[in-house]
Amino acid sequence: MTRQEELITRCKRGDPAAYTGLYNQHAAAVYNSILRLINHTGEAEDILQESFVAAFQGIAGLKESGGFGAWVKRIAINKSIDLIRKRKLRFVELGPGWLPGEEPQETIDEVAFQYTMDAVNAAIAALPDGYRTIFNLYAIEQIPQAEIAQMLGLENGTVRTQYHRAKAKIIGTLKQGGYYER
Amino acid sequence: MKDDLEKFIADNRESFDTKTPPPFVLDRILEEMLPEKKNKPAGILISFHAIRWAAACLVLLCGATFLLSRHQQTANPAMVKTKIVNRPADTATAHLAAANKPAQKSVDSVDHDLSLRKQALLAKLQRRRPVPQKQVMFASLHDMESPASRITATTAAEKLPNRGNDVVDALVQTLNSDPNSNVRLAALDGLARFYQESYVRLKLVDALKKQRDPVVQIAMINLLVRMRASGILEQLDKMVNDENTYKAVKDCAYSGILELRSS
Repeated sequence: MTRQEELITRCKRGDPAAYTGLYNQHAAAVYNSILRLINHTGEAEDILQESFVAAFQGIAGLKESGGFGAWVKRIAINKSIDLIRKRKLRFVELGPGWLPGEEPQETIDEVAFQYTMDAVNAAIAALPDGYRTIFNLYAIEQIPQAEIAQMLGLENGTVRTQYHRAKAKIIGTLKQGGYYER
Repeated sequence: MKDDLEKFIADNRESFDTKTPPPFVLDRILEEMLPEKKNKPAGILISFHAIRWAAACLVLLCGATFLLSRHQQTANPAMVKTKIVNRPADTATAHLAAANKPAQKSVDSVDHDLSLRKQALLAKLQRRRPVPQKQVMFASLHDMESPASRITATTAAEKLPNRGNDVVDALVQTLNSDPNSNVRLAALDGLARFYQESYVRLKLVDALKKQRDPVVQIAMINLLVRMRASGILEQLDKMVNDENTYKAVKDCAYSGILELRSS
């Protein structure tokens, strides 16, 4: 039995030390995922708390103990998206010249780039909220675009287009920031 | 094929998780989880009907016992007298028995004598078995519903003799696994009392590796530096180089390294 399996078994019996152990294993990853979507530490802490409480309360129904981390992260992402939707964030809000259904035509030249963590993080943080949410969900959380569309109540094409635009904006920011080598 | 940006993100996925949640979130989660446990029905449910029957039986039994004992006392008072006189072992009752010898005993005096005898017996038992303070303390350390009672237990532990390292082990376990920062700090204070014991030093060095609470980390580093525990140097180096370590902890670890290396 792995350490995680043992912790989950003890959590099912209501052992507080096991709750602590399981939380310590996964809290940082979940917290960062929430923070990337919400961009507000106080609300991110509340969602982190709610997500772990929901996960611990439903842990009796967890069949694959290895998937606890992914499970609690998905709970947290869903709660974050609920909050984003309560904020009435408009995901269809795009730059000038874009029409619904139109596929982006411009190609992104990434060949001459040398990426650094700080620069990429700064460029993602500089995105408008709608772009940033979709970019984070797809590129960092690795959620398929069809699923993102379902979560956000958007068309698949909209998600695809917004992702492409977000990526173009990031690369544009990196160019302006002097990371362009050509 | 993945583009360069996606590839860069996938390759450095873990480096994006740089923030650490504050320790109080865990406290709040545990607080939410524990009341639920308390609200669950804790035992067998007994119907009100059955309780009424049981109460009626108890009243009848008590009444019958009382009547029987009164009947026996009035019917054969000499037997009571003889019984008391024949057991002069306790000093507390010896003079009473002697005083009662010539006189005819009333029911009240027998009751009084019995209560004296009971007190003497209790005093004797307490002399033989002193209050098991350690057991009470260890039990209180696991009272997850009250951090205050765990702190009280931790403070009490400092005053107990550390036979077979059981007190130290209990305090170390509290230091490593208690969800409340104040309880962990109290456990550390308790352990500081045993600072001269090498076992405590080993346990503290080991505990520093597990501790994630910045407040407790700082207190532990300060204590271990005062104890001149050079075994923590490697861990302090790790903390200084770990970007997830809080700045205050890093500063403390850095000054600890300097102090330990200069001594």
